Amino acid sequence: MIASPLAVYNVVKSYRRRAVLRGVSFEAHPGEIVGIVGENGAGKSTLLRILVGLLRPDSGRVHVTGRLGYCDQEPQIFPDLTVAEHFVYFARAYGIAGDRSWLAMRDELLARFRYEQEVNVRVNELSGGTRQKLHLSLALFHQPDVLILDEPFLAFDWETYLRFWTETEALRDGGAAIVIVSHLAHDRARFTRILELRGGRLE
Amino acid sequence: MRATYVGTSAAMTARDLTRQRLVLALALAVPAVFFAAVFATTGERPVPITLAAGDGRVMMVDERRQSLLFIGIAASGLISAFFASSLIQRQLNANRRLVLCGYRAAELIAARLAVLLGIVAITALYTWLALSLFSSPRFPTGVLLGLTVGAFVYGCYGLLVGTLVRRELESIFAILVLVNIDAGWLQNPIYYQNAGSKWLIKALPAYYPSQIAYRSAFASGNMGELVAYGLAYGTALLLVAVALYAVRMRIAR
Repeated sequence: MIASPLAVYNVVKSYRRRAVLRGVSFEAHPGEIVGIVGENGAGKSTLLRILVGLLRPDSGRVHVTGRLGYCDQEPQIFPDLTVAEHFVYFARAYGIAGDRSWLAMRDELLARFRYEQEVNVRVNELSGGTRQKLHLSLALFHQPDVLILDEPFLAFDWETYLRFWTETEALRDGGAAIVIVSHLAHDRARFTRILELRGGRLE
Repeated sequence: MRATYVGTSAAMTARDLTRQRLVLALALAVPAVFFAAVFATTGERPVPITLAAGDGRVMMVDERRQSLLFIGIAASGLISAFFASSLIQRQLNANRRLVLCGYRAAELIAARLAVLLGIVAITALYTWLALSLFSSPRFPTGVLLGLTVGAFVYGCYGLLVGTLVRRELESIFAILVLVNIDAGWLQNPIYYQNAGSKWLIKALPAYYPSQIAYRSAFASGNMGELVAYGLAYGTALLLVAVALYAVRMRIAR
């Protein structure tokens, strides 16, 4: 039996007295896209931040195997660095800067999301949508085994949104386990499974 | 600690910092404005000073030279502290993402420290050169050493402030208050002779750097002990900053 690359066991999280997650458990298997849905304030982003390790749960465990990619709603990038410099920085972070093969992956991502001409532009001079493209590209850059996305496409135009799904589905077909938070009704057909977060629990 | 990781982060941090043109212009303007104000408002009359780290005797020194040196230490400390706090606070979430992607918090702070040392050297040298236009101290290199130790100690204080407070405005207040009280007032040797609670003056960050600079400008003697204590003071602040930064950047995996 192959272990799931992402397994969540009975995660509990409260902010002061407000319980946000009351024992969340699920697994994401290779080759599936798990959709997390729920009302505003249901705790979706909190759950995703716990999955990647940005938040510590009050109790419970998260087990991630392999390379992790994460992209949240707000671009976490450096406004005064260029697009190219971001790829250099993150190639180093991912430990893939040793040979030059990461350059091919960078060029492929720039081409797929169509912002090659902005490779030497500083982030603070990019449009909101292009910043989000860079933010997402950095999550996909090292070809993750587990990809966790918190509505990464809100600033995308329709064409980029479709390209995002092409990219994500290719990654899924390559065996990655993907978890996506989304509010969009037309996304639902693309999910292998949908889990609804309600009252701090997944249904 | 992986040297290539530190090198990449230091290079990116330096680029990020040097692209803030307005900040750099203000950093250059601060010592010039401070010196010009002192030059315009002081005379060449002799004033009595007592070195806190000296033998307690009263010396008569030129008011302008003394004031320029005093304000030089405040200027270099202020610039260094502001840059240091900014190095920590800028893009904290993006830096945390780097940790998530494989960086270690210690590598990121080592990179910031490398950039800070560059800032310390440039700030001290620039302040010293500007000071040289108005004044010729007895041991110029000793004054440069005092300015460098001052920029280092206040740089480490800036790193600590950057890790303790989250917002820029709060860190500006935390830096301004201490630099003003310490380097901008209590370390002035004109007031030391009659000051009460002298232990407080000696406990503040600008004490050792000020004494190195004043001794070099107006007296003589071994600087080794003062430099060692000054560097130890800064290093203690730095260690606390590193520990707090590591906690803030911690990933729960």
